[in-house]
Amino acid sequence: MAAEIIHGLDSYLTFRLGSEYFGVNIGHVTKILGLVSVTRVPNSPRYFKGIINHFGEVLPVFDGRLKFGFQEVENTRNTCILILVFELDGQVLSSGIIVDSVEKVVVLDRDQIKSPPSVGKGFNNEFIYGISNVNDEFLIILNLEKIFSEEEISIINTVD
Amino acid sequence: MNSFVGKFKGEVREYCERLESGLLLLEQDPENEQVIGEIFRIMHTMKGSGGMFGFDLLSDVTHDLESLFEIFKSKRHKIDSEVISFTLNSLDGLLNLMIQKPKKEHLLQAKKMKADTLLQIARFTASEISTETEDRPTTSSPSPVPATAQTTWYISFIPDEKIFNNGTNPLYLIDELNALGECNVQVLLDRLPKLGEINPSLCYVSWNLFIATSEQMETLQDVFIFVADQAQIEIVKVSSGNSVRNERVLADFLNAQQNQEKWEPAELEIFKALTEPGASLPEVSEEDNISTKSAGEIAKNAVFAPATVDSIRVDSVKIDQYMNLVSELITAQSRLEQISSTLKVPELDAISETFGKLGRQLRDNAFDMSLIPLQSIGTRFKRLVHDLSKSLGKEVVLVTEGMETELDKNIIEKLTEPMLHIIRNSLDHGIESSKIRQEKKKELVGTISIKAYTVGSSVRIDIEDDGAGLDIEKIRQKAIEKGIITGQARLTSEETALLILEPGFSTSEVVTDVSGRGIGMDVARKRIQEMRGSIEIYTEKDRYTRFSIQLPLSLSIIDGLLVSVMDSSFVIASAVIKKIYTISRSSLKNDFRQVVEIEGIQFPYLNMHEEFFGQNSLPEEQYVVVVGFDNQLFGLVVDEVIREYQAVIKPLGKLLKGHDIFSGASILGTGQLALVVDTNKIIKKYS
Amino acid sequence: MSKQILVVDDSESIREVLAFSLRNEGYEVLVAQDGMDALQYFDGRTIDLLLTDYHMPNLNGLELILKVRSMDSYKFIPILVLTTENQIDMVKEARESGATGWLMKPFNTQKLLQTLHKVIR
Repeated sequence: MAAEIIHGLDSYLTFRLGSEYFGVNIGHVTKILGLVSVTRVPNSPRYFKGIINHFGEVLPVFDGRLKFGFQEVENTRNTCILILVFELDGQVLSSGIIVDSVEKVVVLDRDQIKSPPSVGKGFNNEFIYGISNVNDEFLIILNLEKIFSEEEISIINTVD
Repeated sequence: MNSFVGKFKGEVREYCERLESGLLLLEQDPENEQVIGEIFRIMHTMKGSGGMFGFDLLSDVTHDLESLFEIFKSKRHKIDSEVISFTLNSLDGLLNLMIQKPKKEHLLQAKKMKADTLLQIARFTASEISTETEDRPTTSSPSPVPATAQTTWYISFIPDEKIFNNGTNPLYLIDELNALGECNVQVLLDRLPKLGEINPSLCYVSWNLFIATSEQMETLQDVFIFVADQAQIEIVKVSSGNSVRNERVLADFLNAQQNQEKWEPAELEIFKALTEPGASLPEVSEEDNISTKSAGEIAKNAVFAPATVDSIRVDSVKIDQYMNLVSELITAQSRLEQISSTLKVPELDAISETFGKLGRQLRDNAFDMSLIPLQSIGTRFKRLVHDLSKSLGKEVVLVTEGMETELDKNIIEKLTEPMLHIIRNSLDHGIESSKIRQEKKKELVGTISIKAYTVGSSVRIDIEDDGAGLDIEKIRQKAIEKGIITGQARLTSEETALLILEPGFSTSEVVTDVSGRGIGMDVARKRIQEMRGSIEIYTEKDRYTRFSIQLPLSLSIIDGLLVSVMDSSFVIASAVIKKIYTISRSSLKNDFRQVVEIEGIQFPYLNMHEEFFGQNSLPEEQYVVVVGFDNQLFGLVVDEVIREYQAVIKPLGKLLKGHDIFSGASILGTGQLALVVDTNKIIKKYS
Repeated sequence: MSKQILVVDDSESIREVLAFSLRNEGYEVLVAQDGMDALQYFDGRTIDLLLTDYHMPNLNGLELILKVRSMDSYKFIPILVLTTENQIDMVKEARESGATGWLMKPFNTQKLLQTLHKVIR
């Protein structure tokens, strides 16, 4: 029943959050859900939306926008929940993340992914696995292990 | 253990002095029975105790001296002055042999002493035939079996009616057999008289059993060693291999027994072949005859159906699977209940209700099966205290209480490491060396106690040491140094003590070999929290440190009350609920102390609506669910009480740190989720 | 409730080593230095097992057993006698006086528990 990470794939699911274009390795994505009802957990941080029943498992759902430091927006019909699986402290965990829209799957060779620029665009490098270019657009590939290992993080270094 | 050895050495010196004066008395009065008896008794004690404390040479030599004096005690011969001076001369030698790791010279000395003693014995007994016998009471001759292979034995155990008079409980012997191998036990009540004639001090029961074991026959006989003179015991080999569940073999065997035929131990392979469908042997017809004959007898001996076995071993993985299936069944059942309540079909209602009842029974049953006593890990604690206290050079006793308290098997498994770590910590940092204890005028021997007991639907385990206690001020300083707290933080001493459970905190200046090993204190707490448990620390300088662990009885299913607040559902464990009242908004309002008074009792409360969702659409009438914990009452104010509900608790997962007022979530029949309220945490947080 | 065992032996070291081992196993232990001393404990309290040495001053093991067996409340309690290996006769005598079983010295903890489990749980 427990989800598994599939390693060694070179496909990436791309999605949008605010003005940015993100990607995660397809091996970490177990499901794309439409907006299902999320049970609120009182007294939790704002970026944590609540929990859902995903085939008998209780999964936490995060708001990608808030988690990554963007402004919260109203849900649209494109809003959806990605169910991601990743490893944390030796444990395989699942979690949902609400994104503005899911774009497509792209195949990227290793040499098409570059290490994140040391300074640039105000992003917190630690959470970025690499960057690439898809159709002349800047794609940020996320390092899920890092993102979920911190309680309250902002992928964007405090700008303004 | 060293203190025992020291005491023993002192005792031996005293024994030797007493022997000396006794022997001197005998010199004057060689026939003084009392003195001879006393000498014999002292030698006997020295021999027995010597062996216990590892003074094997002493024990060995005294053994022969004792045999020598047996001659005079039994009045077979009179003691003479040669024996007296010989024995007197031996006493110094005995003291010399009081050594645990003998060198060559000691061995030689012992050998000489033994030889001399035997010479003395020989002087008196040369004419006698040795009457010494090492025979143990056995019922039949042993038959050698390869040590690893299993053999199936038949044991008939018919205790004398008066066996209780010796304080024997025959059931323990059956238990002992059960521990040696797989048993098929039949209790025979044929000697039981009419009800009115039963004398409770007599034993009317007897047993027939088959056991498959790799133990030798002698081991089986040893089980009955205490009752050999008070029971008829028959042990017969039935077959090689394990055939306790092979009814055909058992039936054939019993037939042979009944007809007093000689039984040739069966080779299991043949029976296997016969009982496996489709298997054929060259002489099918012949074998067939045998089996038809015995098939008729099977019914006669049907009492040997495996149903009579008291317990079976089940792979723990299977229990887990069973537990999971039951959980899913209950979740499915709540769906069914949901649907049937919307459809309002009477027949469906009835089925749903029955289904619900069965589900609950099944749950209780599964729950019961997965509970095991804390005792099952008790030896690990003993072992740890024993070994570690030795290597730390501290004297520590472990006192346990309530180890029969039962907890979910999975909890016990996960609990072992954290508990071992806490004990390790207590031994290492808590209990002082006996020198320091002496300075503090404390008992020289330190005590670590483990006390377990049930509190509502949880179990509490207190691990306490009577050591130095925690130095609260030092902990505070350290925590500030390490940046765990700021200098401004105002903490109670209990809160400060808890800082030692923070990652990166170590109370000891030097990470010792002992506590540095294995998991850390922070991990111990994490493990406990992962099981919806909590840990607290109480301490008093130079008096004690107590780690108090609280755990749920079971990880997975609870009886609960389903309530709603706004549009959300919550589950409160039934076990802690005392009463439910309706309450109007006005009686809660304007009470700045957050205390509610009901039936003359005041207690703190939490309005879940206000706290979680704000003033928005706060209903005029609400419910107070009064929960009690540790003699403390607390009110949970909710919007609606829906119904009783069996909650299969799913963990919220480790990503949700800091939401510890909820111990998990449960999937409702609608597929929606309800949060399970951790009342202890709520009480702590809000009262 | 843990079981209560009364240990009777005139050797302090044996007494202590037994008490230590038994307490370690979670039993409650009472100690007495001879049969006479032991009798004071048979005052109505629960004694789940009597573990007594054979040879003792004042009241010896056998005499103690006979006394205990004659008391209604303690008639059926298990009793183990401490002996040494060459005392088969003693074992027989002890059985006749009402002992449940015996424990041969020297013994280690394992042997002690093994024997104990034959008569109490």
